[in-house]
Amino acid sequence: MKNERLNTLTNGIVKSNPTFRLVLGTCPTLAVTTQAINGLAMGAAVTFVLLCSNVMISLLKKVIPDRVRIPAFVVIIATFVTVVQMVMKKFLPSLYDALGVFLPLIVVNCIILARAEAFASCNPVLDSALDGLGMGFGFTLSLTFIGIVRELLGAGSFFGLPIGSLGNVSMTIFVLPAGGFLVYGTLMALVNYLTALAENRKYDSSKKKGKKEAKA
Amino acid sequence: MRKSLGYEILMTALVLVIIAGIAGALLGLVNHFTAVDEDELIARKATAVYDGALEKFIGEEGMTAPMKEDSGEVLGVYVPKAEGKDVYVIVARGFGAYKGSLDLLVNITNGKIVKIAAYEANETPGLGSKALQEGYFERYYDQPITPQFKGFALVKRPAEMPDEVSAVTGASKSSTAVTNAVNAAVKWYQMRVLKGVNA
Repeated sequence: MKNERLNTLTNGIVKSNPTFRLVLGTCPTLAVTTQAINGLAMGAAVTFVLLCSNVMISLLKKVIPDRVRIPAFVVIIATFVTVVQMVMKKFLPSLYDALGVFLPLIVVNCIILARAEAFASCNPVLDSALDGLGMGFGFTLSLTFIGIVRELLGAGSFFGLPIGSLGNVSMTIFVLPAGGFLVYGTLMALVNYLTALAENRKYDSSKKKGKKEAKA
Repeated sequence: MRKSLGYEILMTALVLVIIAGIAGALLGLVNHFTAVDEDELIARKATAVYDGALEKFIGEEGMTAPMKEDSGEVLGVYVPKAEGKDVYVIVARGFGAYKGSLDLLVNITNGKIVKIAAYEANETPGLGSKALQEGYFERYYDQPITPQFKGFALVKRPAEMPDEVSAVTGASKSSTAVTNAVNAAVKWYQMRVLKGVNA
């Protein structure tokens, strides 16, 4: 049981990473990752909404009539997105401005709606919370990583801090939409290659273990 | 059968109403603690260009009437709370930016621009953002604003005349919007302070 819960939590970070493995939420991924801090803030906002909406939907799954479950989910998700917007506007106005229209668009983020429909609406509260956290962390890590690479190559800085004279040789294309696609595609290929490599090694070692046991 | 269908519809509507009601109450509560007073926010941000307490400029009748042109507009004007200072912090919007428009805070003291800062501007990092740095804003400083001054002219070469400002290479849209915003602030100062025209 404990292992299952750990799997639920880590599933979204590596195996079913929403950005690199499931290729969900591509629009905000490409749009806001011109700077690492924007990616981190977007990821944090999505994690909060995922966690809260998953918990709420799991709690109300027996109360919400099946026919109107999608509108009910959207109302719940929109509520938490508006909460994030209000808090960000008050306390982090510069990030609120930087994320722009992609902040309210979290309401229709396919990761959140997919987890609500596929997981939270048919699982217990604790599992739904862990799933939301895992998926949120996975999304945050991916966006921050893409943001770091794009900012470093495109503006020569790291989280807004200029790195030596790197800014003089930076390649502007990486902070433009085309560079977003290039970085996203390259990182996706790298992550998938490494995941496949790890899975193959795991399979080989279990195969060897099986043969040894059979001999014994 | 009809009764059960009616009951089902009623219950469905009731559940949705309850969810929407709870959502509304939660948002009301959060709004109570996070509501942002726009005037207070501008006055707080304006401290980036003026070291001291500011308040919204009222002036004589008509002086705060909105000024809007195709290239830029003035959104608001703030003055020091302490009287007797010839300081105007103007919130100006310039059109033509990469993302439509950008807002600047322009401090005009004793007839000269002494400080400019970005108020709401999200130009592309490493590209358009170069036109929003202090080093670029300095090109507009210290030009005397007289009734005859016709505004800053953006040029795509090194500036030769005092009223010329050279655009940032690769960020001509952002440079244009910055110049438009500064010129809107300059025009407001000329029309409402130097000439006192209530137009």
